[in-house]
Amino acid sequence: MEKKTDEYYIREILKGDSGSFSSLVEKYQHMVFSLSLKILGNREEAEDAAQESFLKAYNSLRFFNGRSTFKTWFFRIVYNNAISKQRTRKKNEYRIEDVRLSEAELTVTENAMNKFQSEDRIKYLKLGMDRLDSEEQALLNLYYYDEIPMEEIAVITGYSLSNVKVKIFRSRKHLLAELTKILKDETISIL
Amino acid sequence: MKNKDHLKEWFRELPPEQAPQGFSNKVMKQVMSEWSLDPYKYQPIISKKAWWTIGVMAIIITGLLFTVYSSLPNTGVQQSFFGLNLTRLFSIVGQIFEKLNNISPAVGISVLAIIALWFFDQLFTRAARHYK
Repeated sequence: MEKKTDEYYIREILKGDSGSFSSLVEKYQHMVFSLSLKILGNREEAEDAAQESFLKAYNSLRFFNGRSTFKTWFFRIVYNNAISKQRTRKKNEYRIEDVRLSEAELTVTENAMNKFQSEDRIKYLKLGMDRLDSEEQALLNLYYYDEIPMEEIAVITGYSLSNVKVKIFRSRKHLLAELTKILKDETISIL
Repeated sequence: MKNKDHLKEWFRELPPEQAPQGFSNKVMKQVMSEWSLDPYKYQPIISKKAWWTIGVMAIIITGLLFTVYSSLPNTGVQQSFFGLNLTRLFSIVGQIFEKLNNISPAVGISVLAIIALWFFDQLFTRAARHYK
């Protein structure tokens, strides 16, 4: 079957065929839910936020001007919706004290992580991610998991490209610092 | 960032986060209920505003022509205004009104009823959108 582009479905929806929106929902539901979940950290709230984002996108479709791809435009809605929900909720986040670790320590952690079995690596990565704040999680998720280029992340988040680069670099460092702490605690508990 | 960024590999190992069962159905249900309240409509080439402007202009021009026609002396010859034969124009308009006079009252009442139905339909649709 011929694969239709997002722009094709948008044209159909604007012509009055709202059913075409289901193709976009099918295509993006997991990505949207995943991003909302990373920011909000709760499945029920993430589901509500993801639904809201789809509805907002549907109601704003007539304003989509094609300057960016539909995916980038839509992810901006998803990101802003989840972030604003998270801000109003004032989530009690696990905020670490400013961890200052040397590059050498971080490299040791990286090497240790690479030596783990995939199962353990996933476990520690999830633990480490949970300790980051919502924005850091969202940025790392967009860059490393969804593999969205930094230029598009800048459009989605509304930050400048250089700001995105700095934030991702810091989030990455923060994640490695958290992983170092987790692995140290683990080692102490084993001993 | 280092040349070899291991985080890319680590993140690739993460299992994909799946939206809950029935998620797309829930979204589409909401979308369809939105659509029923405010469906995307065909965008006409001539907008409603333009039609109203054309209508008002037509009424003004007709009124002006009729004023000019009435003010001209009735000499029995054909009267014209900037090349427009007013006598002929208003005799055609007169004939149309004469024909309308001959229409059965039942037809007139039916037309009025249709217009009234359309008016109330528009009124209730707008009220529903306003209070949604």
